[in-house]
This record gives sequence, C-alpha cells and structure tokens, in this order.
Amino acid sequence: MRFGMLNDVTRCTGCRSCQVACKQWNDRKAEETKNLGSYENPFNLSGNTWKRVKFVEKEEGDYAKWSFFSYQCNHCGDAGCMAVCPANAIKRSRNGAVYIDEKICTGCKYCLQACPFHIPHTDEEKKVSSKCTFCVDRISNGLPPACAKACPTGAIVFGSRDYVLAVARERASILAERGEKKFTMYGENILGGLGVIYLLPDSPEVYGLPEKPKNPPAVNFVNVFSNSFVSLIVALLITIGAYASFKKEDKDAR
Amino acid sequence: MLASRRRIKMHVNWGLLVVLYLFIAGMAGGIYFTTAMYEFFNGAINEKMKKGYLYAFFLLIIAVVLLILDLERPARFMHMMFAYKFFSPMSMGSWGLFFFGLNAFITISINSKGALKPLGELFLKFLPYKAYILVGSALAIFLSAYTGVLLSETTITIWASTPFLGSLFLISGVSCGVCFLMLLNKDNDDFIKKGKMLDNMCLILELTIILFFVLALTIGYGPYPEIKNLFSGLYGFLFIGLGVVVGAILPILMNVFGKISLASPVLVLIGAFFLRYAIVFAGQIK
Repeated sequence: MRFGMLNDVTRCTGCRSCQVACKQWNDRKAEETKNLGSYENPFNLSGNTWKRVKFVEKEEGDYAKWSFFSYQCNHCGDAGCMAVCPANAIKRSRNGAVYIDEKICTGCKYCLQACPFHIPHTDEEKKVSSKCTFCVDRISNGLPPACAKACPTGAIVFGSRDYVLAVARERASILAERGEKKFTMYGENILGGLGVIYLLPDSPEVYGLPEKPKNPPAVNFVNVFSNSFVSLIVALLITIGAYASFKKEDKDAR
Repeated sequence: MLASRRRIKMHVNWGLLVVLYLFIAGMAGGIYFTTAMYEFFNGAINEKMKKGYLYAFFLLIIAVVLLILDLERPARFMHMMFAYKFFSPMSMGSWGLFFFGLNAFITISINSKGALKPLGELFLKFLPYKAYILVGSALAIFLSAYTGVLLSETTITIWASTPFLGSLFLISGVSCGVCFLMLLNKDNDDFIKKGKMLDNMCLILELTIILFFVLALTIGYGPYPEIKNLFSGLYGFLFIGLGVVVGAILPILMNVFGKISLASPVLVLIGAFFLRYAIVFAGQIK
C-alpha cells in the first residue's frame, strides 16, 4: 500500500513542532543560522534539516497575508532523483517512501540537480546526499512519520494515499463552501502522483512550488532520445567532415 | 520588503572540477576520434600522430581522477560500476569511460613497440586493428556527447530545456581534439592543413548548434528568467565573448584569412573551456 501525507496549509499555525520532531527522530543536528528579518528559521532545507516550515508573506492591498507552509521531500511517484542516481543509492520502499541509502551514495550530487523541488542536499558531515526518508523506519512498523505525529492542529495528516486524498478533497469542499476561491489541491497527479499532497490557500507559485514541475527529462526518456538523436546527426556530419578532410589525396597515392 | 521574497543564494553543486572534467573528457574523445579518422581515411600515419591515442588515454585518466575527486565520497566511486541504468547519463557515462579507456589501452598496446607489444598481438587475434579504432571512434563520440547529455538530464533550465547540449559538447570536443593534435604536430604539414579544414567545419557546425541552442532557449521554450544568466554579466561575457567570439568566430576568420598559425588552436581550446564554464555555472544560479 502506498502511503501519503497531507500538508494542509490552511490549518498550519507555524509552530514548527514538525521541524523539531523530524530533527529529533532522525537524529539531525541543529544548525547555526542567521536572523534574516523573519521568524522563518532556517531559511532553507539542508543535509541536517529535512523538514521546514516556510513563512509565506503575500501583500494583499494594505495588508500582508501570512501563512505557513510545511514542506519536505514529496516522495514523487516518478522520482527524478531515483531515476538519475548512477549508484542505485536512492530507493523506494514498498509503501512509497523514496529514501537515500547512505552506505551506497557516492555524493555525486546528480540527485540535487535532478529534483524539480530542490529537496536533496549534501550532508556535510557524512558527505552524502540527504533528504526526508518519510520516516521509512517508522511507517514500515505501523507508526506515522515523526512530523505527522507531532502536528497539534491536524495540518499534517498521514495514512494510505487514498485516505489522504479523500481527506484533502473533503477539506477542499469545506473551503469551497466557505467561499474560498483561490485554494489549490497540489500533487494528486503530477510526477506520477506526489506522496505528499498540499492543500494551499493560494496558487502554488505563492509557496514556491512549480505549477507544472518537470522531472529531469531522463524520466520521460524524451531528452535522452532527442539529445542522442541530434548528437548522432552531428557525429555523422563530423565523420563525413573527417573523410572530406583526411581522405588520401590522389597525388599522395601516386 | 517581505521576508519571503528575499533571495537565498543558490549553492553551486557542480563547480570547477566538473567543468575541467567535461572539458578534458570531451577533448580526450575528440583526440581519439581525430587520430582514428586520420589513420582510417589517410592510410598510414607517422608515430608522432599515433601518440594521439596515448594522449587521449592519459587525458581520460586525468578526467576520471577529477571526477572522482569531485565526489563527496571519492572512495565509493566503484559503486557506480555496480549499477547499470540506461536512462541515467551518469551511469551510462561511467561505463562509457570504462570501455573507452579499455579500447584506448588496446589501441595503444597494438601500436606499442615495447613491453605492451605481446599484449597488442594477442588483441589482434580477436579483431582486426581497424575494427578496434572504429569501435574506439564510436566510444569517443559517445564520451564527448555524453558530457553534454549528462547536464541535460537535470531540472536546470539552461541545461535541460533544449536537445542541443549533447551535440554542442560533442562538436566542441572534436574541435578541441583537432586543435590539441595540431599543437603537438606542428611540423606535420599534411595534418596541419587537413586538421585546419576539419576544425573549420567543426567550428561552423558548433556556431550553428550554438545558434539553435540560443534560439531554443530564448524563443522556442518561452521566457525562462534564468537564461539571462547566460547572456549577461560575467557568464554572458564568458559564453559570448570567450566561448563564441574568441573560441569559434575568431579562429574561423584566422583559418580562412590568415596564414596557418598556431594561435587559432589555442583560442579554440580557451573558448571551449569557457563555453563549458559559463554553461555549467550560469545554469546553477537562481
């Protein structure tokens, strides 16, 4: 059964207990950060921060609308990071968690370049790529991920992906009944269906999520073929050019 | 300004070592291909020209060392050889490097007059010499092209939005190979004359591909804000100024209008390096 998680931005209060629970369960070290003028901290994911609450401010007339967006690896159905990993260090568990096997990872950083959400980072201590594991050790033993367990408001919901989608649809219908017009349910069908579904009060771009995220073309085979096809034509032209340039001249033959 | 709008500086994941790797590996492929084609089409070649196979092999070793050093866990590079993934260019590239190196070694041993000669004779029992250099040429083409395809299989807009990066790095690698051999065989008038002809063809083809690449980025695929990094500022200067003007246009003009000069191959090599430098770095800046 594929598990899923709902991140309901409309219910998140920005308490960051998910962030702390993630650090605690996964034994991730705290990092020294700088105050950049916001309560948001840290300002980005890292090798030691796999889950983060982004504080999103949006100007609406004279007011700034403030919402809290909890995010981590989306455990894509078509995971680009997994497709390009040259050492097969990125794996998918039977319940849908995409995780990095630190014992195999070479630290080539190809997954960092391939993720459309820029999620994996380098663990500077272990020198390997690092990201949320969906608490694969917990969910494989019947427990919810640490972040879902710690969330006090029900903003993070964990369960089978079908259950999570049902909850998301139900909450979306409540928002629609309230007259909310801008909300978005994000992740149901993109990239093979994300393992993490977002209920957003606004368009995905407001939260830094690409509206139509694209995996590295390798996953779709398109660019490998188109690049290879153009390269083959060029290779043919060079070979013809080499023949025209290097062919033995008649006077040499004589 | 709202805090959430503050720009976070993007960490450059692939830096100078990767640029050097792409440049040297591409050139190694180009050197092997040029030497093999010269030998294949021109008939017998002198011993000095045959050293092209040796240069290609040693440059490949340097490239592989650079690649391994760039890994966060260099001691684990062998893990890439335990996996084979057809649609991961890095996985395919690892095998490509291995087979290209193996074939270059076979070619060197067949041409050897020293300690490797018995080994070379053994290899000749399996396949004729020309078969080895043709297979090597195909692997050389693969090696040079893969360095571009490697970049294109990511989510970096400048690298992944067009189908031209593989062919651009391929033609640039062959051009570098020709120029490298011209510099080391300056007393070989026949090769200098013919090499200049091939180099001109490569540079014209390279300019054509660059044109398609730029058009595809700016027109065909919509206005990506990231692409301005490649056409303005430092990387714009490196890409257009050094990569295109100094590395391609100037050498063509020198080859066509000037007398045979070794300045032109030097410019091509400089241009090819900065072309890769600009594309790799500009792509990673948000």
